[in-house]
Amino acid sequence: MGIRENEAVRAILGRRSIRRFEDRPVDTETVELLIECACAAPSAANVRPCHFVVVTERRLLSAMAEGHPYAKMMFEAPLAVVVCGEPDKSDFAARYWEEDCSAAMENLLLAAHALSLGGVWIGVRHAPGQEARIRDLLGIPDRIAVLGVAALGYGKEQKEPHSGIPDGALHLGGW
Amino acid sequence: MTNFHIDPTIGFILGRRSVRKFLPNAVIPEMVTTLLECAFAAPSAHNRRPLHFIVVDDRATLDALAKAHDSGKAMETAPLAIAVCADTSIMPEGDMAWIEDAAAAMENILIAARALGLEGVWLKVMDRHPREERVTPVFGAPSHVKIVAIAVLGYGDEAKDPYRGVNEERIHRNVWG
Repeated sequence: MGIRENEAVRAILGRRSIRRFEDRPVDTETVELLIECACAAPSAANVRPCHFVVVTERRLLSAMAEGHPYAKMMFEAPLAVVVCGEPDKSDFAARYWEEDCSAAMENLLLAAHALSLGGVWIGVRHAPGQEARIRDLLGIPDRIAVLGVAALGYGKEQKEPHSGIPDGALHLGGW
Repeated sequence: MTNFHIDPTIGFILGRRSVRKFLPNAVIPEMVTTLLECAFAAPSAHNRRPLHFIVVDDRATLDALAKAHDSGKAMETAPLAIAVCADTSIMPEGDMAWIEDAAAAMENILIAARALGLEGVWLKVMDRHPREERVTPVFGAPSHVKIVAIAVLGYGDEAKDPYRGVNEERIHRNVWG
């Protein structure tokens, strides 16, 4: 079997940002497994600074969609996982919660794709005003940082897998 | 009912552990290319794609990195390292979303490695001092390029159990609490 036919490699290359969703809930067992995969991401000094808010209430999903310039798909998505970090958990968490939470987010999206779901990473941390808004909406304490939201569901659009390496972005032996 | 845990991709996500001891076997170029393709397949905020990768497979540079990085012992035995870097000059002023892009690409590399029978460990570089100042010159990257972290890769010489379960205290339903 060729390396590129490896099932996990195909899942990694096949994961695309999906923004249209069927009107069909994601069952609890699947949600649990997505979170388990997110929790399996590495963290600096194994501090595990991530928290996850699993949102399935339509009212909250729509409210998250309403005030964010790039989150209209949450009007349709049956599920959102808000990935949060706890920077004051330790010195390592303070420095690296964002990297750790991003790895957890990527695991979530890869696992979703592997389980026939689609999803998209909606940035919150670097979108002006969004972190405070999401905190207010979901009652997240101020000491907790909000990385972003994975909007998830059964996809209603299909996209081609990724392939190739962009020109100029690869360096051998040194820059 | 599907046993989700047998889905191979899920198995590799849960099975990926930090491995720091490696066999001397080299990683074939076709695998390195696939790892890089998987790295580039990670999502990027607003699709800006600020990432670059430096592939290191020569013993002298790996040894130099092992010396320069205070937690770099894994590079003494590993046949391969991939530095995940971000060109911050293409980002809008003050936008640090490249940190997230870099971390997602790193995770893709590590999961793809596991899927191909390799193992690896994520060594942080950025924001540790003097680590960052010691490691960055070994790569010779210009100052607008941040070396975020290094994936140290190879055939593992230690085995660890897959990750299982969740910490319920870290999961919140609909609202915090």
